[in-house]
Amino acid sequence: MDWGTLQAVLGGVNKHSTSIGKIWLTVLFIFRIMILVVAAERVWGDEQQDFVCNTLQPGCRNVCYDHFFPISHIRLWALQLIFVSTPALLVAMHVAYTRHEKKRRFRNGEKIDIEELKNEKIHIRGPLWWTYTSSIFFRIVFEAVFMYVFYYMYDGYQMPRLVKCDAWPCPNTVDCFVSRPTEKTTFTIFMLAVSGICMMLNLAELCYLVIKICMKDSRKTT
Amino acid sequence: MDWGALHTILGGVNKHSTSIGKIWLTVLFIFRIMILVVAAEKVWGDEQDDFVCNTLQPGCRNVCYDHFFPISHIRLWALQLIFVSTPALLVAMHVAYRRHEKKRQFRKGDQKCEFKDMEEIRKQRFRIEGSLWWTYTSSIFFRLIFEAVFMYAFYFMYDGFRMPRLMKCNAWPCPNTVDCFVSRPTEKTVFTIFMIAVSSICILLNVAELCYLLTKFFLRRSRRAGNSKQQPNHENKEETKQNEMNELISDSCQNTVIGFSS
Repeated sequence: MDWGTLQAVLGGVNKHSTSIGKIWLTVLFIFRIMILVVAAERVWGDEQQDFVCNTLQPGCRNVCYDHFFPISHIRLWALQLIFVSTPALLVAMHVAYTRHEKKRRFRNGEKIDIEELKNEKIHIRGPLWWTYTSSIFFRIVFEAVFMYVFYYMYDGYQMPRLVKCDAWPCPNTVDCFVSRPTEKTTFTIFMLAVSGICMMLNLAELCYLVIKICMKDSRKTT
Repeated sequence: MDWGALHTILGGVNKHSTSIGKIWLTVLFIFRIMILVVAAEKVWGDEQDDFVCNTLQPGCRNVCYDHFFPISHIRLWALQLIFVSTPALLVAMHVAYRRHEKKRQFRKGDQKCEFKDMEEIRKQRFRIEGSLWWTYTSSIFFRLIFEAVFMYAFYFMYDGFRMPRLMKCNAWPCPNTVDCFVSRPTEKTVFTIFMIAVSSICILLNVAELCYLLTKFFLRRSRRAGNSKQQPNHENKEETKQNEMNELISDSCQNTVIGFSS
């Protein structure tokens, strides 16, 4: 179970999304997951090995690394991407349930073509609209929460070159140097920017769905 | 999600490209992405481990490495390749949208729709005209811009395309000035120059494709203007049909000669 499997699972959801939803999915896979796998993981690969402290005290380096990097950026991004992708599965489950109900009616003797049923594109109406809209809402919430967690945990989005550590067993205050801080800052800002773009796409999709339902309601009443 | 998945996604775009576009895609995958994955990544693999500074001062090596290599070549190339490949997805989205519209027409039972079944709609190859021409041309334009921007970024960041053997560093906490030695500088210079060369070839292919599309557009326009001046309407339709047949034949000839499979 890796990013490729996630892609296979979410690819099925793509069929029942709006156009904005399809763009969001493409941005997620190409500019976030792919960048994470081919570039960011290498940048953070040696983060603990090349975290150097100006001391001979055994254990000081470990303790300082743990103090300044409670959860690594890479792991936070992996969690963020998984949480943000998951609400789309609610929609997939709802669609599968609707199809299952139709198949059940077919077996009970109603005249429905089973091949057409498999290929049918289900429109975003009724209870599916609510499921779809709540999935977008949850996506936005997860994105915002993770962006705040990053900001809170690392005091902003810049990776410093030097961190001063005085955790036990380090003697007094020790200078510790981070590995590749500029490259890490660049990638952090890039991932943050793409995260912002994804949030805006989700907001746009939410507005589109709400407007669509309001227009449909007004057409029905007139 | 890795380079293989990108290859799958872009393979679909291949079907609706011009011949030059297909050549560009092949050059991108074989001479850039494949070289990056099988060779360049190994050359740069030990770049920080084997970056050695003539000092015992802890932290000096980290700081000097960070000062001279703000973003590694490998990451810049990975970003360049992703950004340069992405405009092709605009074309894929436009084609998917057109297909969706035709399927909708077919389902409604529209008599204007000339396809007999869904399979034909799925396999249809769209010609690059009308709004698709504009999408395709803008995607090539963006590709050119991204290539140029990244080449400039390389040049600016590393003061040229050569990797020096020795760098003199005096960033804190290094005492005074410290000599730092780069790992595999010659091999890195060779690969940098290779990737720049292939990047330039890709730029030339994109410029050629742009010129080809513009030429085709103006020729078509002048042919239509010429036809409408000389002949009345019923003969006009036959002429345009004959012209389209000729274009189709010349297009398919080009494709068979190059022989790319989509």
